[in-house]
Amino acid sequence: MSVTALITNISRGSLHDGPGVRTVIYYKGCLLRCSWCHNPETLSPKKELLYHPSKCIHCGACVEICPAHHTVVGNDMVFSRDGCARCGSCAASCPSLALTVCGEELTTEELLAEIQKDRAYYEASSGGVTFSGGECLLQADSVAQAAAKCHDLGISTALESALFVPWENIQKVLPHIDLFYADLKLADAEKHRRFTGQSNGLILENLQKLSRCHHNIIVRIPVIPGVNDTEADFMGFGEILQSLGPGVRQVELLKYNFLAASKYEALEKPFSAFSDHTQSDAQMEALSSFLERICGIPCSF
Amino acid sequence: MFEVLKYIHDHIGDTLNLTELADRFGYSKWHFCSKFHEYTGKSFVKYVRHYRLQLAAVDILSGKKVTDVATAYGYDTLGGFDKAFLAQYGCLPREYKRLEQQTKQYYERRKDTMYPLTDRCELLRQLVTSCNDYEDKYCIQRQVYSTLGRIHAAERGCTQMQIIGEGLCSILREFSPVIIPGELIVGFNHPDTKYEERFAPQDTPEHRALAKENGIREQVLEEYFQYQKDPSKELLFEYRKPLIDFAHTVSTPPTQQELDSTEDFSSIVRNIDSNHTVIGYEQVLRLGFRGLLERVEAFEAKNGENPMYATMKCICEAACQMGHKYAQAAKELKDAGSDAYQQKDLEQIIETCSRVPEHPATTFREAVQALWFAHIVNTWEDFINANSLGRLDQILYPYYKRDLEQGILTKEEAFELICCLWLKLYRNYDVQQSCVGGTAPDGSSDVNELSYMMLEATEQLNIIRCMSVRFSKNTEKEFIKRALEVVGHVQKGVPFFFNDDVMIPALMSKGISKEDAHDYTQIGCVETVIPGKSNPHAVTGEANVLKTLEYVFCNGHSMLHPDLFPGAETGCLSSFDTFEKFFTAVKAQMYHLLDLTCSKVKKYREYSVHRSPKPYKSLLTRGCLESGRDFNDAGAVYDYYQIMLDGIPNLADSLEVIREFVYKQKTYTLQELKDILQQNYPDERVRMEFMNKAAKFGNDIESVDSLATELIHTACDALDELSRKYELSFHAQPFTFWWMVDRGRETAATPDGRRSGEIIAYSVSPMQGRDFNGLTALLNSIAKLPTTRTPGTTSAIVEVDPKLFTDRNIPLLADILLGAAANGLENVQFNTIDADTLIDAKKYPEKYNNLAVRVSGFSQKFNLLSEELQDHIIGRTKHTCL
Repeated sequence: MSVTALITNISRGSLHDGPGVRTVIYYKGCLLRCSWCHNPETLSPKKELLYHPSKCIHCGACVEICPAHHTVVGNDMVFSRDGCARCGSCAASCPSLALTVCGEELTTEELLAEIQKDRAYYEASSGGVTFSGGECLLQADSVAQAAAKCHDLGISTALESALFVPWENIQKVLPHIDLFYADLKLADAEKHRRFTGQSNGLILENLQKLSRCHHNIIVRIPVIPGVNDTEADFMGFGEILQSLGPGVRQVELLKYNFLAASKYEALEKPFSAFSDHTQSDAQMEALSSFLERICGIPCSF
Repeated sequence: MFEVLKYIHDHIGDTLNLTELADRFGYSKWHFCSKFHEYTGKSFVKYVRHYRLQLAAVDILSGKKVTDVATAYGYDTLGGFDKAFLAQYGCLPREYKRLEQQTKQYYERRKDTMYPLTDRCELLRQLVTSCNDYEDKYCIQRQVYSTLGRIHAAERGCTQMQIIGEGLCSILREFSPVIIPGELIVGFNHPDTKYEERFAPQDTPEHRALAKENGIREQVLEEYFQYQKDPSKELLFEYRKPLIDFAHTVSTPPTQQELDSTEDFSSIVRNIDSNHTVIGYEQVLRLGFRGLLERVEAFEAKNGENPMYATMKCICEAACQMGHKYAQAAKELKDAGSDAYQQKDLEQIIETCSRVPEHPATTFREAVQALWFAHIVNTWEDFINANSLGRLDQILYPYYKRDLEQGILTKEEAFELICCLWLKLYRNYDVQQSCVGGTAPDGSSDVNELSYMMLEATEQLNIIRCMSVRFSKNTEKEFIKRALEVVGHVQKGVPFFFNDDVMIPALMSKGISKEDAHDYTQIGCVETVIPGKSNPHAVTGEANVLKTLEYVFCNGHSMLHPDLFPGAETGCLSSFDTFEKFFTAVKAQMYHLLDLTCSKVKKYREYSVHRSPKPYKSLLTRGCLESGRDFNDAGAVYDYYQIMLDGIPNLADSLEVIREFVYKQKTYTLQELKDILQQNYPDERVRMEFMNKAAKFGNDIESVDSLATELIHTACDALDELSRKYELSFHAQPFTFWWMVDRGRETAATPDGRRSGEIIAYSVSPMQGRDFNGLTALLNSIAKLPTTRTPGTTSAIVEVDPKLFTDRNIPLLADILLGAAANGLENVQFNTIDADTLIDAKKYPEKYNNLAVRVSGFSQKFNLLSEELQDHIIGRTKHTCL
């Protein structure tokens, strides 16, 4: 039986989420609340309304459809989320795509149809599909089913997860995933709780297990200015990485992405930037060689 | 505001105060702020900071101490300077130098593996790129001599063929050689691409001086001016009446109105009766004009005399002398002992030109020189325009290989000669196409050392060089990657890519032999040709199929000009109760439109047979000598007409909107839709709805992509049937050139959300800005089109972020290209300038003099484009592949 999943977005032709040319499937919903998250639209496990004020032509179509939750003041649309039933009818009526619904229910068949469109590119480049999110493993049944079908079709699979999920969820997908990207955010449990809302106990436990039963893991560390870029933080990462099983092949440091502000704006959520610029290559190089020295696993950025 | 900026730049080291500056230039403070922001896109403070940091960066690179630089640009603390610098450049000032050096070193390292650009080429490059068409001043020679040649022949009562031939022979006999110091390859061709009055000398002191400088004798010039004033000779001046017979009217010329269709501009036939060719230059290399003369005589003996053979013989005789004139001129320069020239260069010119083009080329150098002479004669026959060169790596390789084996040529010397040829070809507007790569009939790759070397010359010279790459699934991936590197590094949209696995079957389906199909190459932008064997009649016929919608809505009438009746009667709107019926009506209009276009092509063809014979092109085109028929009189082995199809993407998008809103959702009736279009979208909401709420071509969405596919099938079917009806071979070419601006202007509002008069899509690229599913989706949409039926190429331009062409990504881009090719992609051209740069360039053209973009099958300096085209290019979706 086909499973239905809530998908934020399917991004084709990606060159940065695994080997070759890839289709990335962003699942919706995540239990962590990392303060720096640059995909805030993937956090909620429900459909959400996005509002892009710059696209609004003030036609009032949304008001006609849903008068309860929108008011018009002069020429300006004042838009309120209070009591929104997330029915999406306003977005359906919006001619200029200023209002859109983020989150689409897709069956495994529908996912596969989309994935298969770029087969020629996977074949030419040894690429494939990458399951990402949000936290795709919160919808592990869909991932497992889709990944298994990909394997039947000879399409290679990768998955990116923060591992804050029950171990059973990880187990479900393990046999069908060729490459595992495991996120590591902070080594210190208290800091982890402060910046992501959750302790890292479960994550580290899962990572330990995973590193002993999957052979092709890349650990990804997003480097956030002032959050996890001190020597102490990296000593902590080093200790964790050192203790892991043989499955971890590589560590990738990710530069801070400060360009997510518009996404927060569309969700009308506050955005607090940790910095208004990204790290220089030299800074990243220093961190990565430092980490490599302590943990003994090849590091890159 | 320009003055303000200038002031800021001049006083950047001083303390700059907004209030003071506003005062100085007579603005109020607030008005100044808003004006400044409008003009520069930045606030005053930001602009000044940005500019200071730019200068600071330059200073740091030049080796100044960071602390000194910080103080010089008004930073009190090093910390403040560091912070500002980091924000702008993403690194600290002291790192900046190292990083910059790394990138530079990296490029230098790459350069180390390439052939060096010699000082000679660098100097010649500066010469040709510094002025607009530096050969302008020599073109007066062609104008005077060929006009007089034609007039004299006409006075003798010659035939049209002989008159045209005499025009060519006259310039070949009379021209004065021009040898520019440093040149290895000599000879000037026509300076521009078309008939233009500005090149015709007028009786002014400047032109008289110019003529004298060009060695034109006073007596000859007087004669020319006398004829120019004589109204009865008017017709012999090409630039005045290019449409009229030079000699006597053998048939009635079609009127301009007939050619332009019914003023509705949906069906257009142009009077381009050639200057879009790739003819057999390699025959000049192989036989020399002496050998060609003997061939003509042999055929004359066999088939009997005719004016064409006689004219060809004259041309061969005159062309034989070209080289000798240059050898003589070089000898005189040598004897004069001027130090402007290097003796060795002159000796080599003497040696080379004493041999070619009269005799067969024996060395690589002679081959390159002979090829250039052969090209000059072609452009002197009917101007440059898109007279192209063909598969240069294939033509020149045997000579290169032999010279290397004999040890008389080094690879560096070969590279320098190619650079010299490239510089000879340089034009601001250049559609003299050349091609590298390809596939042999046995499936093996044709790529050779010269193919790489020619890509490298393009990269090293960093100029616009109209160039394409042919590839197939058997082509070395290394070669494709190299070509993509050139796209990324040169950033002028060259080379472009043609997929042999699609092109060759498409050509073979039109009755072209396997062998010949494998030898195809491109003319000008993207027109397909079998070199030396075909007359493709490129850009002769054009049909704006988007207008069929108007004709369906108005039952045959034009929506913009209701009194015109260019379409067919397909019934009233109420009769289309299903989408299929509506679509059938569109197809019927399309057939009608193509029939109109083809019938006009036929009519025009009959006229051009008499009007513009092409003796030189006939000489170098297989079939003409054999049959005794001219190039423009179906003499070529393959004689076909490429019919351009405009507006396919818009038409598919429009049909999808109609299917969705009229037939599925039933939100609007056809009559309501017609009213909306006629009133040009009075309600923006409706336009937005049409634009955003129905699928659009270019996103790999089956419903609308299949409409585009069906439209092209329909056009191909129609053209097949019309080929039988008119006994001419018509090839579909879904290509708009840059006329999407003009066609848009002449087209009423369309249901895809396009307003009346707005530009239409380029060729089969999606309507600009409407593809948002990524690069692979875009390529898939284009690849779905029935490309194996359109040997005229489904041209597409894809905008790619230049940052994507990193060394990590280039292999992946090659994979994407190969993946798309496997899906059936026929042709793709990459534009690699980011939108910010273009917007900036539009504002400050003076900053971007060498910025070139892919316009439409050719690259052009951005500054020279019309504003509409600039906006079109800015509006195309930039793919970043994130």
